[in-house]
Amino acid sequence: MKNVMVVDDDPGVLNTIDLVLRRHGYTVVKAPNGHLCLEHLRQGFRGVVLMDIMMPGLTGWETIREIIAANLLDNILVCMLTAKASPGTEGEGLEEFVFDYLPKPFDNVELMSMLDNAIECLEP
Amino acid sequence: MKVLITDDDLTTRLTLGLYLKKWGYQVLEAASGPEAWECLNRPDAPSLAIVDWVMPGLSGPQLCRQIKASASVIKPYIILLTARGERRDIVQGLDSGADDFMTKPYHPDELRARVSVGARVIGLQGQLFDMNRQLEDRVRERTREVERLLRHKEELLQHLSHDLKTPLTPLVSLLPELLRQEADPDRRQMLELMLDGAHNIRSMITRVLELCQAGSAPLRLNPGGEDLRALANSALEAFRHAIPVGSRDLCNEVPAGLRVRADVASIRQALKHLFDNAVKFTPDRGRIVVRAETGPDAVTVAVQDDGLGLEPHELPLIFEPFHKVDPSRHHLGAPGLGLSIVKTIVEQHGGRAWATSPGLRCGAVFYFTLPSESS
Amino acid sequence: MNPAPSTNGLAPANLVVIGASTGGTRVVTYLLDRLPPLRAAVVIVQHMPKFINLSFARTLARHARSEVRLVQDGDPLQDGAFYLAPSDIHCTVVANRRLRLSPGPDVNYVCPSIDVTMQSLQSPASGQRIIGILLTGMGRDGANGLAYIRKLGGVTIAQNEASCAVYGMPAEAVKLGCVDFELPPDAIVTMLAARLAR
Repeated sequence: MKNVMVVDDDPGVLNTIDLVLRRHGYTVVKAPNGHLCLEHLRQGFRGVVLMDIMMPGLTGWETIREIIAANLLDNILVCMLTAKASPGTEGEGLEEFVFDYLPKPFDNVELMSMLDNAIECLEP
Repeated sequence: MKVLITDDDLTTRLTLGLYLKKWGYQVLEAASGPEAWECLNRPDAPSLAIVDWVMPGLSGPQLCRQIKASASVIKPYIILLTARGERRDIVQGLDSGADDFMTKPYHPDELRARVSVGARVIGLQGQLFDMNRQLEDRVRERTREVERLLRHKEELLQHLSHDLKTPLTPLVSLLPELLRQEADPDRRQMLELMLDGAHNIRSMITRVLELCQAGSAPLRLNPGGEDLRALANSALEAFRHAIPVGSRDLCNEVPAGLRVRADVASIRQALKHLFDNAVKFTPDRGRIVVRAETGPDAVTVAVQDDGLGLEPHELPLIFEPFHKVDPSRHHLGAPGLGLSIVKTIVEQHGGRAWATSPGLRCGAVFYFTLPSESS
Repeated sequence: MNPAPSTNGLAPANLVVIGASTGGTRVVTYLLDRLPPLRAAVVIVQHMPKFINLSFARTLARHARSEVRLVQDGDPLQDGAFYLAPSDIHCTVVANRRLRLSPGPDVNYVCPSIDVTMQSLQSPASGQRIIGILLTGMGRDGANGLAYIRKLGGVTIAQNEASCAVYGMPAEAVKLGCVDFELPPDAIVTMLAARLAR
């Protein structure tokens, strides 16, 4: 199953990725903030989590810390989306929990090649 | 107001002291030059000193010279009091730095008048000093304000560019989806135009961000400097992959052994923009050469192309942000920021950037200097 | 020409260490998909969550033209094979011919650390080549390792900025001035094939 959860506070980005991915045969779950992302994980989401970094409330990095603390890392791979030119230092120490990283705005081909690679690695 | 009496004769000190106290001054005494010097260097030093000419240790004029040569901002007003009354004595005394001169025996009224002139001068000096300080404070305050505004402007640009990336995502992602399914040639062309526009905005945003960031991080300099030839080579190699194979001839003619004081990452970035610029204005099969030569304290780096060239009046303008050389070149998609980024980086290194060109269609050379590393 | 395959006791003819972090799995998969069989043992240190170790090794095995092993303590290095270091344990090379897994504190915030693996290499035997490759990733792990390989007389390659998901580790190596080549993944394949293909 090509399962993807998109975590982004911007509805434009959220719906865009949803539209594009659904048209290419992915199953998409939308989470407009970090708390809802955690909620989906608690309910057993398995697949790739596509996470924005700059979000109000919980940032992407904070959400990852919560995911680690709640022991919800099994069966998911986290890929980061960001509008920043350089990753900055907020993510220091979280390198091994982030599987991949895509700068905004991205090409669909790039996005899907990243997701396919992650999905392939998730297969048992 | 405090007055210092400097005289090795006790009687003179006592008499002078009596008068001055009567006129309302606070009196301090010193029996020698060194003692007076010590007293005048205290934090609450007297602002006026009456100094005898002949004293053991340090004479009156010697003390005056020492005071005038000292680093302190406010210097005491000095009245030289002496039995010598010749014109050349007066000249010598005033030349040594005394503010006034009186001969013994003195008349108390004259003394009173001269001391009060001194007090007036000291008062004016104090006012001037306060006004100066106020002015300096105001300049500092304004400078801080200007710096704050500049920083604010930079942050604004950075935020704006950053925030523009998010709404661009639907355009850059969804237009190709529509294009993929569109068969009608006219509608395809419309979509392609829209997509081109979105891509241009994206590259412009990237460069604005790059310009904002250039020069803001401290330079990372390795002791011993960097080998310029190797640096140019790595920038050329990294760039070679960005252009079609064999389309242009890129040459590194930097002599071996030149060492410069440079932050590797930013100078590579600067070179990348110069190559980018050269490629943009050089036709296919053109030749782009990077060279360098060493001067007395700086190394000059040159990137030469045999492309479109520049007119003389354009040369001083091309390093300004958003300056576009000529409107007909708009199709080249240059947002006109690459050379500003180069300038910012080079100036952060303490160097300068400029360009020369023999004229249109004669190619151009872009230069910048870097401090050389003597090791 | 067809050199005899090395046996357990022999050092590999050549050694390649690939270090990668964020965004690296895509590039490592790409490399293994396109590399011809090499006259070299290739050790891959990729930062990743532990639970995908096996599936990533399997993904690589599906793409590679030669054997891919998830490293076990004591594995001898053999020409032509790829060795993927597992998560949460440092992976060192003993005497340029054997791999050792040993627990230890995080280095550069990570375990396994690319620096630890690269800095365990020894000077190449005569005729032997050592190549260090640092791919996309956050942070600075691997930069000192690459500098160390350069000092041993090895060749160093960093993934170029344009092709990196995160231009962090390769940028740090470039700043140290220890990178011989900055290349996109396709050029890395070409270079390895030209120097090491059987």
